[in-house]
Amino acid sequence: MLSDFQNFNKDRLNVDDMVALAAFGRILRAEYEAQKVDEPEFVDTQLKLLRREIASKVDDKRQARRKQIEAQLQSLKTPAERRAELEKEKAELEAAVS
Amino acid sequence: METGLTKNNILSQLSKSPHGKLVDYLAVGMTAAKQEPEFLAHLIAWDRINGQIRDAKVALPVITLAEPAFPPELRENSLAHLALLGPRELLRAFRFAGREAFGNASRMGTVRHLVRTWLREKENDRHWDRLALQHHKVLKELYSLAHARPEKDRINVVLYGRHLDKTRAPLPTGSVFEVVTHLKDMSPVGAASEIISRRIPFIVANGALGEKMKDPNVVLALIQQMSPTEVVTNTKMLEKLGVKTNPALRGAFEEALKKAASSKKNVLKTTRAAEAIDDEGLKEKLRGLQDRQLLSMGVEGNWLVLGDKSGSMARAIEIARRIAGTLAKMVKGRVWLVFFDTQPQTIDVSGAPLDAIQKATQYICANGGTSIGCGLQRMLETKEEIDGIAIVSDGGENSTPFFHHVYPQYAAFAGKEPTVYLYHCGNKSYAFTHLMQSAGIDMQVFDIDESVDFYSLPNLVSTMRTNRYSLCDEVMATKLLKLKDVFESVGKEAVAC
Repeated sequence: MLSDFQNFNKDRLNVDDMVALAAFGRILRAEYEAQKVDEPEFVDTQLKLLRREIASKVDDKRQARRKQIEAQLQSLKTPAERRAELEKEKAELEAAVS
Repeated sequence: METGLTKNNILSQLSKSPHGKLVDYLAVGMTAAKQEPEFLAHLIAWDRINGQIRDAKVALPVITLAEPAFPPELRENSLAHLALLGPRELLRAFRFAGREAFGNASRMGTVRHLVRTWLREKENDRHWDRLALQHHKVLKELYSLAHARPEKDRINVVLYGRHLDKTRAPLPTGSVFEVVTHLKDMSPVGAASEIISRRIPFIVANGALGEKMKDPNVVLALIQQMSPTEVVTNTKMLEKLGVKTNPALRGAFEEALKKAASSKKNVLKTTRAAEAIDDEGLKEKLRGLQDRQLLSMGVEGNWLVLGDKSGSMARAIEIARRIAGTLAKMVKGRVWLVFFDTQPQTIDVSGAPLDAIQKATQYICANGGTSIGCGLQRMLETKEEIDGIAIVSDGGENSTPFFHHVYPQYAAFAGKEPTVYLYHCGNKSYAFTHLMQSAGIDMQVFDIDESVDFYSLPNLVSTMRTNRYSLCDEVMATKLLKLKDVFESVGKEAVAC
């Protein structure tokens, strides 16, 4: 686990793996503190890297879900709603042209 | 030492990928159908669940049906496994049966009847639209080869554009077939919403969308519809469509990879796809996926991989690396990779990825004599406990200590006899196999000729066991299928034909 924590490859891991490694890093940090031993530099570096990657992946996942929901909402629209949208777009275009 | 066509021989021969040349299975399959019919029947069932090579799933049931000596009571299992194939594979099986396996069109009645039953069954399936959407041409060809016609008017309209009374007809209004023809005229969000709500398969939408394929909304909808295999094989195309740069696409791709990790169907495709990708980030993602897939395949015990690095064995060095890399991911125990000429060079590769193994062994080059036994001798001296040994060599052992001398000493030390597998490659010599035979040491041989590529290796590795007979037991314990397990509406009429 220590070796995985020190040498992880952000592209190879998924969010679950990274969360597990970050949890390990926190335990490691706590143990250094409990033992009153200076924490090696890599602990902080790797934890920061992991947290940044987790946040980035979670953000990507949220954006993907938002887009999926938008597409699903579109499919739930009635023909009348779609007609109204098209009418509105047409009016905007006509206003722009004139 | 095993002679003739044993169960292990059958397993090793049929675990290799002929890359679409089903005829390569014919000789060994026919012999197996005669000599070990019950085992072959169970192997067909086992292979459906565990096998990675689609060609074997298509060819083996056909071969058993084509062999007159194959017992009639086992034929239903073969037919049931043919019936479980998808349309494309069923068509391949039919063609293989007609052109190569049966060698006589008049004997095709059973297969033709099975295809007719399969088509009827699909006509009544509520997922028929999805099937027809993806396999329109294949279904038409199956109807034609089976000398059959659809029973339902709607199906006739979708496939042939005509009613059953042969009058012309447009695609059913509001059907998914009609929507697909209009996809390219819709707005990107509209097209995306249709793809998601109607679950239009990636391969169909890909063909119907034209330039709209480049829109992120559409790409995202397509990623959602992709099967694990499609995700892996289309990674390169997805890269061009922005899966690396667009955050939403990146998120959807990550999710798709997560789903693919639990699929055992596409391990070999992942290997190939990873090799084809230029982008290092995506390559790593696919490698990570492959690690998870290999882990789920599982092989027990501690393993020793003995790689021959004697003169002209450059290919054996690379094969040994690949086997060690695959084992390192598959096994829960430890894996040692030992390169030998007359001296061993040992590396503990437990859990190491292939690229790390390649880096650690990059300066290994082929030269020197051959002592396969020196690698095992090293394990004996360091008192390492191993359960299985994979030897990658041309088998030209010519220096002491000989493997067949060290093996009994190791077995006495460990109190067990590790299973031995030989990946026989290069300019093959049979000195080693003869020595093992005369020493009475059982060894399974995988014949690695030029046609066996690195792509097939994980499949061979996954058949290795630490108990000599456990894979055969596993195969024999796999339940045979009956047609009623596969078809809802059919009893045994297809067999009776």
